[in-house]
Amino acid sequence: MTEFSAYGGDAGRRFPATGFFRVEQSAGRWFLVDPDGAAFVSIGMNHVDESNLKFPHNAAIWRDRYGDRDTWIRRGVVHDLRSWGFNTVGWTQEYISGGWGTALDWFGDPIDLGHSTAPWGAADFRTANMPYVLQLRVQEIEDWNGYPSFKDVYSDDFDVYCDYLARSICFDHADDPNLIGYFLVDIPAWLPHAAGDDFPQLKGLHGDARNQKLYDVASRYYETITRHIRRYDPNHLVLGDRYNGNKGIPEAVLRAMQPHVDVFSVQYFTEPTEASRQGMREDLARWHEITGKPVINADLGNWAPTELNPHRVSGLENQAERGEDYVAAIGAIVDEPWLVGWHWCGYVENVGGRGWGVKDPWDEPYDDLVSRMRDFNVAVHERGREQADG
Amino acid sequence: MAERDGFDRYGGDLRTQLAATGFFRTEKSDSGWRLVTPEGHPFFIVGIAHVDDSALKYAESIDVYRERYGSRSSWISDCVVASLRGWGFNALAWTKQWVSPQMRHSPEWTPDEYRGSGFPYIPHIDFLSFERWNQQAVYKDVFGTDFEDWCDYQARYWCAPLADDPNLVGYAYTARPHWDIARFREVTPSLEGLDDHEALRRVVRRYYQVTHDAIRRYDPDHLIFGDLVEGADTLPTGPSEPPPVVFTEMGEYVDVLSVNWYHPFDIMRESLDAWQRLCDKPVFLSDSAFVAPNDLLTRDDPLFEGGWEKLRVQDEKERGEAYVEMVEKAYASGYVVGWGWCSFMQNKVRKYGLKSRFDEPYECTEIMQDFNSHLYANLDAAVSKRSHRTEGAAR
Repeated sequence: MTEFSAYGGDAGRRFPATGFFRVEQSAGRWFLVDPDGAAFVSIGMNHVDESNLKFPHNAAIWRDRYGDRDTWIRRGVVHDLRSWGFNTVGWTQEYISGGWGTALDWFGDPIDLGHSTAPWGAADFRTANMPYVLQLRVQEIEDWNGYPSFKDVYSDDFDVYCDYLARSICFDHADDPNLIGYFLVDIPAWLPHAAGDDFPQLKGLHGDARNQKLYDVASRYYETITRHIRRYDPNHLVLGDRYNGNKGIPEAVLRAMQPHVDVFSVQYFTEPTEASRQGMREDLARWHEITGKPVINADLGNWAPTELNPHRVSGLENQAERGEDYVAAIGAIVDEPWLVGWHWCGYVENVGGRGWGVKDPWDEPYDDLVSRMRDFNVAVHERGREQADG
Repeated sequence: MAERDGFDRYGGDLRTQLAATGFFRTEKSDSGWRLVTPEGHPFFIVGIAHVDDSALKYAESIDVYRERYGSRSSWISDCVVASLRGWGFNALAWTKQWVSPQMRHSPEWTPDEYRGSGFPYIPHIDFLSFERWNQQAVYKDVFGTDFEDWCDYQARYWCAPLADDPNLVGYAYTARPHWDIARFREVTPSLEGLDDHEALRRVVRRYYQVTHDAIRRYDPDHLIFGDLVEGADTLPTGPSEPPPVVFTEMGEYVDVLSVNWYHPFDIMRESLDAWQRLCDKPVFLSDSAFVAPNDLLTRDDPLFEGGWEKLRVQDEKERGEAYVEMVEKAYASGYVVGWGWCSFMQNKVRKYGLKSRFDEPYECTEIMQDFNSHLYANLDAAVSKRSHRTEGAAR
């Protein structure tokens, strides 16, 4: 059995300790290294938002079990994540309104998925006392945002706003060993946005002309935000944009990101088929080749119809099939030498928005799902060790 | 809240006892509108808007933050609340701060932060970001279920954790909304065939109804301050006064008419008289200030263009005196129930506040403190002085 480090890493595999999370390449494989020097795979849970437990149908459960945010974080979130083999609090904001009809097409009609207002703050993460990530919303250009706003990256406004973001967020976390690093924008529209908008410098450009200018725009974007992050926090990783892998990523952006960002992060959902899972593996491997960075799948998930969300139909019939799919989807990439983590999409099932989670709308885990997740997660370090030893 | 002489724990006027309901409420009598504290004492809001700690985290001021506070919770209690109490202010009147040249704002404090402050507060709920100053303004179909789901989330986020907090004065919404019916038409199929007046009437009514119902689903008790309605001619973009239908339609769904207008009271008075009659609500002046030149702000700074020159005063002494005059005149109207002074701490974008970005209070706060320490006696004296003057003029 694996002996876990204080952060949930592999205490049996050691690297030099620096007091902060970092990445290291050793014997042809990438590792996250925790502050004490243990090898670490970031197994995260995304969208951990308490408003999912304050609907009329579950407010009484919130009051009885938790009553306040600190108690919920300690007795709910941290307890659940640890007992299911997760070691990272992922991006905490939740999808709470808006739909996409019967199929999600990133190039089709624009969608507008509302997201919860406030991510967790520094005090919340101190309460949780486990590894976590943060996000800097450098541009409001997410592919799920029906009203994107592309700001001129060459403007004084962009520079001042990046400094504000870094000053206001990084400052409070710069000394925290539990922080893994900073994501930037969730699925930013580096390919043209479905709503039709684009960066001012790119409007009207196509093909090579667009790609050429895109490299300049993206370079300025990454250079500006990372310069400000480093000014307030020289210690932590920059995990970068959470690219929309299912839509595609322009190579110009990956080349622009390369000098400034430490990890290639990507959202990539799979269909419940072997072909789709292998497609993910091939895409991630290709993007890893271009960037030379270790890889985190920053957002993947699955769903099946439930009592309050019968419309969440996929190729999966029930929670047990979701559990099988978790193992198969992550199993398709877990042994790759570039993978350093994955963050799963959805904690408590809400209504009106995402409509899926690993806990039902009454705060009970879907046992058929989480039992498979737990078995897979706790074995991940042994798997890595066997692979290295073999 | 430590009680000061003559004030209840919320900053209410101990000399008069009215019905206590455990929550802030409004009351209309022969002499006009007033707010009443949870303990049943008359209350006039002297609040502060725009309170953001990134102002104290610049390279040149970061050591001040570290040495004096070191954490956000300590900054809230030992910097913000301690300063406001010291100066005799009695409410946080929203906290978002202007942080980039193109008017982007920092996030609002969280419900836990407001509640934890132990100080009266009026938080802002982002139901729809259609501010005139917002270059990313968004218009949505307020008749759609997406909008209902979004409003329900906002109410879950804000009202569920705050519904039982007596320090919550009430909920406010969007600052200076731009009721642009053409933009609403672009996203609202059901407006087809209606003339602009009727289309706007329906949009306004539906917007206030959905937002009101979402709040009331989770909180039956607290006041609703609604949008911070934009006053006339406050921006270089030109006349911005909302059409009368906004006031008549909102009346059923808000408790207070909040007005965001950067002018001295005498210039606003005629419009305020008319608006408060249209919706039959008391008025909260939610966000304005008087500004004196300082180390970041010269007399000819572009900030003072487009009507804002009316807010410019010569120095900190005039600034304090302008505060007193505005509070006195507003109170004497009989329908204004408070004022949110614009900005706690200077940053490099807004450039003005009651404290510098090195955490040093400007001298105007001494005059404000003098006045606020006997707020209600001073207000009564001002009214009586005013009525003597009126009688004298009549004779």
